[in-house]
Amino acid sequence: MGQKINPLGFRLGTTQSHHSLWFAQSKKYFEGLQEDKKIRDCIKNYVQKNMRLSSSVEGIASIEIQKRLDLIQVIIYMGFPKLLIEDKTRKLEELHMNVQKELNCMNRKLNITITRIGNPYGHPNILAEFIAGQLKNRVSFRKAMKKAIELIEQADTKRIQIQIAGRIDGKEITRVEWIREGRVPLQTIGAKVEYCSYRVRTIYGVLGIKFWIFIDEE
Amino acid sequence: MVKNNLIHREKKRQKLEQKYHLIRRSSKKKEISKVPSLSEKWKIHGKLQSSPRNSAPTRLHRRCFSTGRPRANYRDFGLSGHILREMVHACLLPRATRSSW
Repeated sequence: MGQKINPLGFRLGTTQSHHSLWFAQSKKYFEGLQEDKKIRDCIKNYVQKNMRLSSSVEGIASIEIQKRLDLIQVIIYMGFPKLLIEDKTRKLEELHMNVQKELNCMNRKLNITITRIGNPYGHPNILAEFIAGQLKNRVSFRKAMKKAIELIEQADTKRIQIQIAGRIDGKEITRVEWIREGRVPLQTIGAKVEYCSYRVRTIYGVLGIKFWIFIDEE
Repeated sequence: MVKNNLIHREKKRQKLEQKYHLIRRSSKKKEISKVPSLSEKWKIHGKLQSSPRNSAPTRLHRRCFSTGRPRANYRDFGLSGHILREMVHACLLPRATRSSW
């Protein structure tokens, strides 16, 4: 069977930009990577813990990290920034302190900002979390996929491909089901494609969901 | 994921290596060769032997910092090959791109 390469990695030089932007000498590169990982884990854990209380889709699309000599800038792109609505400054400060404790960086300032995305369901990560929640609640997979397409159309993006793999509907024999709406040109590097691969842990096992969303650049 | 105790063993070795680093350096080959008499050489060598074994840098084994995998690690990234590939595709490594398309 043919194998598909991750469309984000495929387009990295051209239509896709990196989520971490900094420079380091080759001997110090891996220290920078470790810091990045710590920041991202810290933020995700914090958001997960807090979202448990309010029980809604978390919706972190991506976390961008830019580093300079004296400043680390973290921009969190969220779809539903509940953190902004309730107790805005306190929660941001808590997050800030948590991340700083992890990093123990003396000579660099840390700056965390949260940006809201225009169409939250136009981004595959947020859509994936929503559909994962539905599948966990044992909604039929076809309904879940159609709901995903509906959400995408509301968000003004029309072309999407969805694939669900695993014990669909709890059956013993695993399957791969996919639907496509519109044209999704995966081989065209000039076409901007957003991709997300997400794992759902259901009571029957793990389902893998993949979303390919083609963003029309006018 | 690797067992936690293996990762902590590595950390222990790293700590000891840092602690005894200067002491070991003072008893290395250069120092021994500078000193003419044999008994002095034995003394310096004795210092080297008396420091704990886990403080030797040769005993350190690099592990992937995200999974702890002992094999297939790259020094430039500190990651094992599989995780490295995943992270490159997720656009998390600055300026790392594919060289083929």
